[in-house]
Amino acid sequence: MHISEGVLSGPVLGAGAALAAAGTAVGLKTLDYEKIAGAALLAAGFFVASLIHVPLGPGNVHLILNGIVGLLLGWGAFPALLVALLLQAVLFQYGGLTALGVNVLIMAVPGLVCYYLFRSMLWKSARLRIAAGFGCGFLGVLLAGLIAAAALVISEESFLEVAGLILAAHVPVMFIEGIVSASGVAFIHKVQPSLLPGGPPR
Amino acid sequence: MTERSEKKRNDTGRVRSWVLRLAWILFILAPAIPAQAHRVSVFAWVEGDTVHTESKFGGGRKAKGAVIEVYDETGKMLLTGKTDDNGAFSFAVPKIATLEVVLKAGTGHQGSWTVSEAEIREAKTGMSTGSKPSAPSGEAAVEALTPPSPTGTAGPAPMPVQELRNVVEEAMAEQLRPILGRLARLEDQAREPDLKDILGGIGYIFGLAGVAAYVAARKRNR
Repeated sequence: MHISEGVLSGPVLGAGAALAAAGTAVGLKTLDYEKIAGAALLAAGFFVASLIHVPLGPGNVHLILNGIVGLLLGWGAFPALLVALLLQAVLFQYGGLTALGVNVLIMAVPGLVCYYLFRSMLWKSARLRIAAGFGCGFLGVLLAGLIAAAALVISEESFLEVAGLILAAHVPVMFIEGIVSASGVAFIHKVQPSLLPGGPPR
Repeated sequence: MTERSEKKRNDTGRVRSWVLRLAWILFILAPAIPAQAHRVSVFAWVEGDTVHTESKFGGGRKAKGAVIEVYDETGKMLLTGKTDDNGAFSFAVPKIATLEVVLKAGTGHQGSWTVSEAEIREAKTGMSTGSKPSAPSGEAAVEALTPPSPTGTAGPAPMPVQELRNVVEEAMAEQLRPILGRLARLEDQAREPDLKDILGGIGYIFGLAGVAAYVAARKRNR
């Protein structure tokens, strides 16, 4: 879902860069000393995740993991994903460099949404926790597709057509990522619950 | 803990551990499996008067029915077309100049390849026909090749230089065609991500984290 070089128009690229910069500034403030190691691990995980492929039907699908990165880091997802996407662009040519700002928005904003939506659900019951984890994965991919389509709508024809194409291609990813995120959340809760946002209601 | 809730806890734990195991297996198997669309790439090579292009998604899947646009060095679009079921699209050289072949596969995927003017000229001279005047050295060489006909009997007439040249060039073009394709594919393969890119990226991430931690620690101690 990375947008390549030369696809988007100047204003879209500029707006994307500005919004991503703002998000990153907020994110850097929230990343205090304790959180940096976790952010690095998640950035590395995201960086490598797009190389993980699951064969599905005629082709393959890849993991994105932006939902769980957002859930665990909140606003810190912006700098973490910025670094990971920059390295993907430079080393793998995934996504254009001028489109970096837009690509950061595509990945980080859904993560942020998942953070606000699901963080309170994590501490109520095991079932709700798994549902929240699934929701993060599912919604992360869904919203990323919608934002990518919104960015493309200015250069391509209609939003519905582009959005439909992207989302249709990623439906299996949404479910797979939901499952992966759910098991990820459950695992983290078992071994290091302090990594999860919020905390048990006191 | 009551017996029933203990059993329930064990069951959930068992399911969870299986899901985790499955996830790990997928993670380990993953590098063996070819990739899907993160980027799309096109490469091109020239044979005689024709430019051949091949388009595929990162990891090998062919880009079928994708739009190809060819621009000259001034940015003017010279022609456009669509790739076939093999991701291939060929066209006659529209202009002897540096061409930019742009592939547009939809939903934000785009790639390009530059065909240099030198490459076009080289391919063209390889397929030259009749109009070049034969160099004196050429004539002498042909004379040396044809055996002197024995006096009295009429042997086969010596082949004119230009015809001989055409025959040789045709044979060479036929041999070179698959090699040129392989060369272009090789150049394109060098663009795929490999292990050192992955390790480099991870290294940079942790390096940056280290710098950030240092800065944050200093801020804390102030």
